[in-house]
Amino acid sequence: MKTITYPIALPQKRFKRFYLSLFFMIVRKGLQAAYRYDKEIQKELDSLDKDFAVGMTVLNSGPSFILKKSTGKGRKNLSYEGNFNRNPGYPCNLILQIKSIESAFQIFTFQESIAVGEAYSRFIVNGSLEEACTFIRVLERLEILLLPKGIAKLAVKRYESFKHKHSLRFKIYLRILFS
Amino acid sequence: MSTTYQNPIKILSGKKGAFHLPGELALNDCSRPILIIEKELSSLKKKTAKGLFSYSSVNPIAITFISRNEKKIAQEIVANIIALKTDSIVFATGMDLFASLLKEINLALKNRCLPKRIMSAWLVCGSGSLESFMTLSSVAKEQIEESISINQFFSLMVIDSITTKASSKETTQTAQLAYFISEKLESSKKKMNPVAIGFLEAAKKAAILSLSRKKISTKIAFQTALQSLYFSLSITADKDFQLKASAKAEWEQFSHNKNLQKSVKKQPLPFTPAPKYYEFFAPVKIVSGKQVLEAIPDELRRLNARCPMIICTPSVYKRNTCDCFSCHFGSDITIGHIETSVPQDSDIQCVERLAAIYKEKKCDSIIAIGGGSYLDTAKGVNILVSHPSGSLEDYAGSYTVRKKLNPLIAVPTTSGTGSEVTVVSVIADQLRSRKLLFVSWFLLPDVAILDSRITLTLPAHLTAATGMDALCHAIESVISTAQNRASHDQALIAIKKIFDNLEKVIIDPQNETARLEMAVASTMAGIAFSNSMVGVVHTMAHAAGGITHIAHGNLISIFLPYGLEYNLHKSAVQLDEIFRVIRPQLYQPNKTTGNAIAFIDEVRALAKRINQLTNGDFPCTLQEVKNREGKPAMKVTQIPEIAKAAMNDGSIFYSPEQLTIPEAIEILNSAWDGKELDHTKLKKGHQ
Repeated sequence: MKTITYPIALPQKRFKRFYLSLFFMIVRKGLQAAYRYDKEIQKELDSLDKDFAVGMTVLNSGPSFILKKSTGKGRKNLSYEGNFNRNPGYPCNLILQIKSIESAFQIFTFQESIAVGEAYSRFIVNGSLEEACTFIRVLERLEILLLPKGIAKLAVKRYESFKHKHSLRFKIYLRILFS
Repeated sequence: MSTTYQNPIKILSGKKGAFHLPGELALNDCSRPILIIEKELSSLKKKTAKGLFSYSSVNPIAITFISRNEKKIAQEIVANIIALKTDSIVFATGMDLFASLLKEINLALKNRCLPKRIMSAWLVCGSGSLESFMTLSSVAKEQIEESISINQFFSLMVIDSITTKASSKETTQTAQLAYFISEKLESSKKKMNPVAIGFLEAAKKAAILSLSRKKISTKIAFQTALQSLYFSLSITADKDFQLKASAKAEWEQFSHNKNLQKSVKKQPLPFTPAPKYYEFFAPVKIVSGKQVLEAIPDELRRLNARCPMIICTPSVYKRNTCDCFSCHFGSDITIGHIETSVPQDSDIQCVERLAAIYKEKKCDSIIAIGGGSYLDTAKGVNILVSHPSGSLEDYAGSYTVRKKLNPLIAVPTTSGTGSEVTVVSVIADQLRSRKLLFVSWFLLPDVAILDSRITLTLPAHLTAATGMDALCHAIESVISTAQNRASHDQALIAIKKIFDNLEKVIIDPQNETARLEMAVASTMAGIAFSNSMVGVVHTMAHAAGGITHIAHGNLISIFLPYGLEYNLHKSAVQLDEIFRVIRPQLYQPNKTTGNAIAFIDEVRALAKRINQLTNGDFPCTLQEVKNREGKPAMKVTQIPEIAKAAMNDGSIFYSPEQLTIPEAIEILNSAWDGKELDHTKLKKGHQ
């Protein structure tokens, strides 16, 4: 019998961590841009509290963000309030946590859709159900907006195309690139 | 005659399930695990076992490598546990090593060498023998008899595709073993609790599925075989049953007889595919039968409770139902307080008042006798009295309650909510016009008592409404996106029992046997939907109930056929399987959609028959529903508002087909006047 005690060297998952960090950045910036340009997402998020704040994170110490609704210069705006893991006490209305880096990788490489991820208990949701449902609908809409049809079909339960999708997509990508 | 069932182990099975393990430990407030890895495992498996804890909040404080050939290692491990002050052990070992270690550590626990609150998780790495299976089942039985349950010892079992990579030979052998065990247990069915029979069915089907291996990969077949072993294990946790010693010789014969093995492959396969990943947990001890209320004193003693608070309905109190068990209390147990005034919707003020009484009278446990609101209130009181400080609101949300609560015994007086086996409690905050949702395993009662006498006086319309609610729980858990094989078979048995007994109890309310069958079916449906969740029918019923205040059971019954029709194209296989179970004589092979439609017609016909039996007290359409003043309870103008509210219900995620506002309006319009759904107006998703 051989026992190794603390400190224990655990395997690093640098690629998965890098991929998820990049994806979280795109989702964050994409949400900010989509709230500005897409009327459907505006309608959904406007139905929530005036100061609605959402935290999304991968447990534990994975990539994360906090977004908060604000109305600056008469424009609809989702402001970035920093990394959720560094501000765990930030008053968020809704916190969406993915249980592990591996689960997050499954979902954000589109091996599982968000609905399937929820069915497989990959998420921990803290906050009201109403807000969680709205935010997940927004995320699904964002995936349709950002991803090519073939990939988006893997990410959502029902793919519905809509008018001016390409022009909206172009605007959102530009904003992600230059913000 | 009574039967009992208990299985305190939670199973995480399937793709990337092992990576949920650190999270599970954290939810149980375990922060100092030691990881025990079998030396003989491949380097990849060893790396995977360590990798589970990368970026997790729980890091192992020690990793011990042991060989399966080493002897007397358990004592060293026990010494390590004491020296390192660990609170949990994670085994990444094969079944043989795990079984022998568990036996030794269990012995150390019994001899009080170790603190009793140690959580143990087994990351299954490879198959095992009949001997190790029998050792495991005897350890599980000892644990249960000594009332070591949730959050204590051997609480988690993880079957992940990464660690359980196996050769074809290993897979076949494990599947054969699983089939053999489930066959051996079959002969004891009469002695078994119905919940255990549900697991037995699941075990057998899973074994046949993995042995036939027509469509599934070796990896999934192996997982399925191991799952079936687990289900069989949970059955042997039934106190009255164990595998006989002669089983070894019979197993030798079976494993060498190719003709016997070939006959297994000829058996009909289950239709519904196993999900890629699922979690299953149903640790409540279920005691069911005639005159089982009398078992409450023994259960209290087993749980070390001496001063229970009784929360019961006024009718239970008036009928002196409590005397059935309180007369057996003896000198060691005294009733702290009896409370009968609980509002229709569990209320935060009521919970706080009862918690204050509980503390004042120095009670140490709760016996809740009533419907869903009584059980939810009891769960709320238990949260407050088990924590030294804090308000009820502090514990609202998912898994904010993280410690073992005081003993709670639940006695449901309706056969429908399944609240006695669910992890949820909903408590209304009338002052702020909102409902607080509490979700945690620790809310689960310790014992559920299903007595045939308790529902005898339930009025016909309530019997019908709660029965249809239980039926919906069972059906929706089968078609849900989170369905799994363990809950699937519980649900199938529950559906059969409800179809066979619901009308009987409405016609003859004093039929004790049928009443007991309904109570058991409701609990089994509760276990099923607690692990698989419900879908679009509950989405619509929650939304409509919130706005119109129509009784939940009535709404469920009205929406059920529409919810099934709506999901028909995605759940025909599951509905086909249900139809085969409930109407085998009408079942037509190879006509999946036809059978599914026939099942939906059966549900409609059942609701209509109940409507006639209750002289119209039980409505079939939304426009027929009346309020207490006899006026229509809902207006057609409320339909858009209900459809909008439906979008914000959590159960919407578990519906196989996406639900949007126009489709919800279409369902509501059809349910309003009882016409069939117009499928041309509905969209279909691709997944």
